[in-house]
Amino acid sequence: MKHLDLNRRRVLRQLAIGASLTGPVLLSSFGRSALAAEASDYRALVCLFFFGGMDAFDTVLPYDSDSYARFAQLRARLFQQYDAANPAASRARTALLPLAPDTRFGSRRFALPAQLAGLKTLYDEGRLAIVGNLGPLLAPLTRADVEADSPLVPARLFSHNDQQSTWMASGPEGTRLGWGGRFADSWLDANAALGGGAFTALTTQATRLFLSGERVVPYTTGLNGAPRYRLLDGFPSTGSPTQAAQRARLRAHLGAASVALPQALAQDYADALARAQATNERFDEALQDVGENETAFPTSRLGRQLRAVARAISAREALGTQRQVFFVGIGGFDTHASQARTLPALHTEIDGATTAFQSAMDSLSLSRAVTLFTASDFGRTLSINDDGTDHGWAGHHLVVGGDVAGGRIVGDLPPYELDHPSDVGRGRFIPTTSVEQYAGSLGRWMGLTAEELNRALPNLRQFDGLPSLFADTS
Amino acid sequence: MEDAPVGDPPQVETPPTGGSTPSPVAKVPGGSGSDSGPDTDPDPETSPPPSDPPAAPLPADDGDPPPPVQPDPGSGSESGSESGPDLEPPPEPATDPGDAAAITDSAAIKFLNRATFGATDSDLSAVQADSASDWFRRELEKPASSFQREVTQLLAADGATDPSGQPTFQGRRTPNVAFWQLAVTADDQLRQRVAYALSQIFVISNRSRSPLFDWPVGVAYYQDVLARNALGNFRTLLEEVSLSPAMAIHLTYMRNLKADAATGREPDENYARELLQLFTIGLVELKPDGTPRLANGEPVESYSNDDITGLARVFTGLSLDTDVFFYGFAEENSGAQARPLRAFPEWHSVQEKQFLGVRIPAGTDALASIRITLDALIQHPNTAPFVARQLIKRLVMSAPPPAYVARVARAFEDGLYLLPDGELAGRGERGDLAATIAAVLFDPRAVGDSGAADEQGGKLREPVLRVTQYLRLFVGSAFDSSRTPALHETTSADSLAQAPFQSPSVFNFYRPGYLAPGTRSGDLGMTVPELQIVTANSLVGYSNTLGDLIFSGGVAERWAGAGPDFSSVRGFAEQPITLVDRLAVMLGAAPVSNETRDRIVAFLQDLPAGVGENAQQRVRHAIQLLMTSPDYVAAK
Repeated sequence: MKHLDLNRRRVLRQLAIGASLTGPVLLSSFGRSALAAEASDYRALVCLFFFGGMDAFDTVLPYDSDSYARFAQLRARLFQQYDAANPAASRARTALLPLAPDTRFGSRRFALPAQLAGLKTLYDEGRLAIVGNLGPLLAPLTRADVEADSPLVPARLFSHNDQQSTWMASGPEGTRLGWGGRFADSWLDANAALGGGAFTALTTQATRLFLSGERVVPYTTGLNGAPRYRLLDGFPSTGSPTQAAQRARLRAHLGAASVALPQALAQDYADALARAQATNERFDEALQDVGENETAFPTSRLGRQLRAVARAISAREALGTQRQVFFVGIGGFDTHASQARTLPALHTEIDGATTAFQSAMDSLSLSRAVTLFTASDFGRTLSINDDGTDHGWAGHHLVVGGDVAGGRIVGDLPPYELDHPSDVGRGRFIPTTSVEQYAGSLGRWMGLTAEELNRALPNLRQFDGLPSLFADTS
Repeated sequence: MEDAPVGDPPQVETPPTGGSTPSPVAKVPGGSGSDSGPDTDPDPETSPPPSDPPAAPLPADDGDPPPPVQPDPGSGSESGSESGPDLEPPPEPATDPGDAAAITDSAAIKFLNRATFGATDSDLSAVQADSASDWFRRELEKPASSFQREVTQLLAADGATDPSGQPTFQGRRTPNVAFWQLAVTADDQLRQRVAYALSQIFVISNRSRSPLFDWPVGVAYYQDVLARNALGNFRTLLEEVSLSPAMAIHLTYMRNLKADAATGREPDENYARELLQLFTIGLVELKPDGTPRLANGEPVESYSNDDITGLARVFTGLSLDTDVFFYGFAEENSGAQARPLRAFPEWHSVQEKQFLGVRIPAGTDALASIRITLDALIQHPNTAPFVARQLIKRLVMSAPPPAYVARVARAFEDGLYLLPDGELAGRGERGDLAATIAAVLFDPRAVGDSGAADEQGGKLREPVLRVTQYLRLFVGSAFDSSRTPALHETTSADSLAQAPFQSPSVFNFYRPGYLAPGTRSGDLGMTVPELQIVTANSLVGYSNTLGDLIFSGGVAERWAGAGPDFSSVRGFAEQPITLVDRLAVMLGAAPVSNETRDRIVAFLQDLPAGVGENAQQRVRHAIQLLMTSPDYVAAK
């Protein structure tokens, strides 16, 4: 396959795979070189989703001695399980990694657990920002609004699938378009002109909601490049005329070519087969051109996913993409029990994979062109249920990249205490920054207009301004 | 939860075979539902439909075909059988699986593909010799196969335990090995098939790294709970599920402690929430047909967070059935994984418990509180349509119309269903699953052939069920799951993207409410769970996995357990058209489209002809291509 038929590749590039088969594609036949010159303009977002609801309080911990002591008392049983009295244990104050003081928070200080040492370094280098008390909102809310059951309280709070959907798509289960996909709608034509329309949105997960747009259909990539049908192996294109003809029939069958079926489900499956074949073959070729990443990634679940994303980014020119959005994720954060055993291992996995990804972007000289951000179903309760925590609302999140105005906390971090004005019960905090504001800031960095942002984020108008996540934004 | 693995397999008893419903009690001559009045009142304020039994098929109001009994002679052609090249002479119109005289191969296979892990020749003969109603009744009588027995045997095999008696990786996978074995070879097919459907609603998971991975005996006990109650009563099922150690581990209420004001500790809310959201009533108030009840144009949430807080108190103070609440390794391996949980009064919340309008007085103990809770939940107006819709989706139809849901919900409430041959299924108690499953399988919308023009019908066959069907048809009783390791973990998109009892989350492999973006079904508003695992990656993974099964021929070591036997169709190898048409009916119960058929036939004709290995190759390719065609994957 190294001896690619260049003619065929050119034709494939010009084929709009995916949603757009119309106008802009034709530009590519004469616009390719001009657009290639703009490749330095490449930008991408990577959404890292923590399925199950990550405990933000146990990720960004209180550090000044007063706050730490109160927190340790609130979570006494959990701290016991962390063996926090042992000075070397991961929740012992002495073992935490303190963040530089921020006068906005008075005497309060914060720290990351030792498992996030790599991210702490990125924070210190100014390439990672923490966004505090972030969550789904339709409009700014007070505790009185929530207690009065205001219609502005987001539907189906505390329910996993609904809040995942709300994070990704501004509405509960059943919502069909995610803001990643809607952002990508704005980039589809430019990518299609380069031949990479089908690769505007890539996911390593089965979940596609976040990346589904009006026109954009996400491509699900394997962890080791595109999969291949083994059935074709016995019928090489270089074989006898019969073998080549048989291969063509098999490809037509496996791609459900020109199958039109009246049953919606059957047609959906046929369409999926057709799209899979076209995109898998293109992806396979492009990745062969670029080879392996220079950076070594951990072999964890997340490490392998971010390695696949880094490979796709390194193949951006062969794929023909200028703006992309990626989705990766790991589960296991629903720590109703055994949090002290589960969460540190997850933090370690996040830390190793994310820092490797950042190194890979550095080695591609794309550090400033790619921003990774985190998302999760919800934060968790501040109060514990013995050895775990329950479903909450707001949480804290991370934004990583060379263009990020890092080394600081963006937004609010309400005190880690019960019964203050942000607490609607058991330490479920009302968000003070909405997911849509967060998304809006990311989208603006990608170059979307206010109009495009408002189309992708239906409630954005209800909020004043965007959090300043990047150096070039206020 | 300690992560200590299980030691020696404990002694297990064969579970009782209780739960199967006795034979029908009454013969109702020719009764149809045509006189039972309107079923789904469009008025959102309507309470559940009148409960005058029996819940015979109700008049269809959603464009469904007419009920199976007393068909309108004038409309026979609309509800007729499959068109196309059946191997039988053209059938009579108004085919239904209960009508022995008229049942075609297609209709019988379609029925059996829903009621079993794949139609075989012997089941087909049975349905055709008697009737689908008779077959169904016989299935109700069959005793449940025992997962515990399977797992105990598998744990006794070489390599299943290490020298210290703890299960190895092989030992920890035994419940999954047992699943495939029973799915393919067990005699109680209807029960096992329904249990598998239930396993996708009452989800536990023994994925690698999950706590239940270390508890093969506890998982096997849970599998038996589902199978033993699959055709029994939903109320009993709920109680046995709620008191099973595996569920308590999976949804983290094992050793859940009552609140402690001094420390601010609150009970774990996990089970309270998922019991409501996933197992019984769902998130929003439902009409009897399963559609949301609207107030001011918006769905009404069926519970609040206060309800969860109140309900969480119920599931406190439960632990393994030993003398030690905070059990350790010894207790864990004492056999208690395979017994219902024990209530420990000192750890149970004796505060008053309030939720959903239920008030459990202060001082009520754990087991009494659980019984009051489950009694209330089974009476909740949401439960019947909620469960009905889920079961239809798992057994028959990806996106069932509301009237079908309403008819099944009615059978759930009445506990009775009139089978096509005029006899009743069920014992007349609310929540009877024999009646409910009968309603799912024999409903006119399920049975009636709306033909190729049924745009919104059918079910996307689950990858696991495609593979069980292949194994039942072409490997059969020779199948040895323990020697087929590639089926032990099929979670990856390189494999089947679906693995029984290894779901990635409490939401199963896919969610019931999934609307696939960018699809025709999505545009039509059809929720199609199975599309959630159809990706550019998993489509190839399925084809490759299936291909390994078909082409290995028992040669490759990792497929050693699945050597296929194609003698039933090898004789057609020289006649590709007949071969394809016959396989289309055997596998998919319907002919495939001309495009698909022509392409497969052309490919087969260009393969070397002859007997022996050449014939085998033609048959293998024919099966592989049919089973990867959209025509087959989308069941009618």
